[in-house]
Amino acid sequence: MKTLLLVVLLPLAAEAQLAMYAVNGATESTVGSSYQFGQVAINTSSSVQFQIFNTGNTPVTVSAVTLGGTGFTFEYPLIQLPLVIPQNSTVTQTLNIWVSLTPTSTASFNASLTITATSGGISTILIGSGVTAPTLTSGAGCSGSAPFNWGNVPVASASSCTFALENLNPQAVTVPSMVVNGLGFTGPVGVTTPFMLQPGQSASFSVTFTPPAAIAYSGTLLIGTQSYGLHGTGQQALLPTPALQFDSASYSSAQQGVLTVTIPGSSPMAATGYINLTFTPTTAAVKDDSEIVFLASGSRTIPFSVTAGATTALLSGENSATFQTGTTEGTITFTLTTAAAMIGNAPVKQFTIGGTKVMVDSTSASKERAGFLDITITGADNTYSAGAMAFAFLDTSGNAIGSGASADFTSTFKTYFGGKTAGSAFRTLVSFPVTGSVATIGSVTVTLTNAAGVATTGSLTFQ
Amino acid sequence: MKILTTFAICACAWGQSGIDRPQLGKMLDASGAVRTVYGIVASVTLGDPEQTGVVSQACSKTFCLAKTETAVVSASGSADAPAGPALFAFDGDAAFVWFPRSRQLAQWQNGVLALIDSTVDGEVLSMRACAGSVEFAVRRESGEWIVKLDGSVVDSLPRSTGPVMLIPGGVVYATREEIVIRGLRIPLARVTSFSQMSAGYLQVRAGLLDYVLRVEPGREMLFQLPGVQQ
Repeated sequence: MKTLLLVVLLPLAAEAQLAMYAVNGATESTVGSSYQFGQVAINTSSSVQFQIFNTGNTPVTVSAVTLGGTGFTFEYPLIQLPLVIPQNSTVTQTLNIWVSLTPTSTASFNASLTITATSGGISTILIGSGVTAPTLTSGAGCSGSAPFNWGNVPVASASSCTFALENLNPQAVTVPSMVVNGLGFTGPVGVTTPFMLQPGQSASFSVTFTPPAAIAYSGTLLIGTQSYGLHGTGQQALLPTPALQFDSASYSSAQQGVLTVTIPGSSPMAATGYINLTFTPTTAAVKDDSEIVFLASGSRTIPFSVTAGATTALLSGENSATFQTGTTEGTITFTLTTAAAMIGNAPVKQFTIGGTKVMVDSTSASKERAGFLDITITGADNTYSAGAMAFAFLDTSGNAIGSGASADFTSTFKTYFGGKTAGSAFRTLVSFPVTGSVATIGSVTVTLTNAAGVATTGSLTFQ
Repeated sequence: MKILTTFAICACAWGQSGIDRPQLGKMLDASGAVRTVYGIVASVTLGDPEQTGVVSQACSKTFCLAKTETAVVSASGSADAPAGPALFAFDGDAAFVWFPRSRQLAQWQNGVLALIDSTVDGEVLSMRACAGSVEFAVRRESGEWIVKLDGSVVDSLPRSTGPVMLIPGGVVYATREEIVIRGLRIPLARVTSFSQMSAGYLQVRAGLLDYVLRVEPGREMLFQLPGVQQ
């Protein structure tokens, strides 16, 4: 009786020496009497690695490995058999078998994987089904069909492409995994795998391309066993040509204008640079006018900065910059310089400051100083050609006194302006010696002539 | 006949006594340096520093006063003074000086600073000379007032949270977004102070920028001053 019992038990003990595991990445799972490959898109392959261990205390010789059924194949040629697996085998002492399921139709597939050994074997039934892969279409952000191409994308800028994955099968499809590979490509965002798509149902998600450098990039989007190519090219970011905008279409002398710098659309990147101002006088009398500056800095250069996404540049940290037009006829030119690559040419804006009559800023007429009539005129002559003056005196009743007086101070002005670069502003005092009572001398009107015409002070009442 | 004779002399003997660079007054830059402002309205340049270490300064038609931390200084001399900034009100060749930190009033004349007994309630915002005495713009809980040295109220001022400057025959004050002068409202935010550059111009500080306000009646105008090149 005891002998019989041993005879019955021995084969069982021998069979139990082999154990089969399925390897999925770093995870191993015990394989029982059957193993599910699950749904596999038709005409694609799903591959599984099986490892055969010897858990017994004696070596086992594997004499045959067979695969009986349709749809399943050995992915790699088997090693030469027989193979002796030592007792208590480690992971490096196993028999490794790779089996693929490549369905060619939407049907169920199964096969028997059998390992025959001298002291017993092990087998399992492999099961899977072929399904039509969910249809992947792209929306905005990349090309419409695989391989999906993002085209040129500014370096370090993120460009997303939206996708729709739709199940056109009459049965539900499980999407086991979605993986994006490749430098520069990230995602998917919007789905969590695994998930099931019912017939006719679709899922939306996005993949983002952020090129680290100005080169071409490739990646893949793996949806289950389906692989889709991803392409994109990093392009050096370009700053849209900034627009120099002014608070007036034209300027004349002795004005203060306001400059703002806008970025059409918005800036795809941060950028810095300078706004420069230059001045070229029309007149040969002077070589420059130092009054023509940006007021924030008191100079002809101000820094600008743009942050990514901004539509307006900061000028010396402010939203705008005020400048003076000075008191010299000529051309003021604004230019923008930046080390950033720009679409088109750097913007340039010129303003012509035309010659004008003498600009009279303030005046006074005084007879307080004994024996003199003092007339003070403060103004500017942006043509640097002033000199001729005429004086018309009226008595306190408004009657003209004599025929007036005229004079040419051209040489005096020329001496004053000579070599100056600080504009044409002047303050002149013209004194008329008088004798006797000045009580009835009421007012004077002064006209000043330059190359642009004749200016008048209006009536100046003697104080 | 006498007039005609007079004019006949003028026509023969007039003369241009000279041309020079016009000045709008003197400004105090952010570093405490006093500089001359040259030019005409809206077209100005700044001169080099003439005095440094200044905390307050103002000019009349004829002279300027500067307050350093411990002295009042003019071209005619200097005198020890209470610490801190000062407010000025010019009166011919003299001036009243208010020291906010010590709440003392003094009169400056010929390089001498003489303290004057005074008790002014409230925060003194500005001063102006008036008939040999002085009037104060003060901010109190009850509002802003113009008061005399004896405390009597001359007038009330519109409520404002910003600086106030008494000018001959009027007042300039700043609200949150604008400057108001004789009913004229000039947009400018962040105004923190006024100071008298000359008889006709005020320096206005707003944020980190300096402006000039022309206060001549009928010709009021605001324009920006150039920054000081670093």
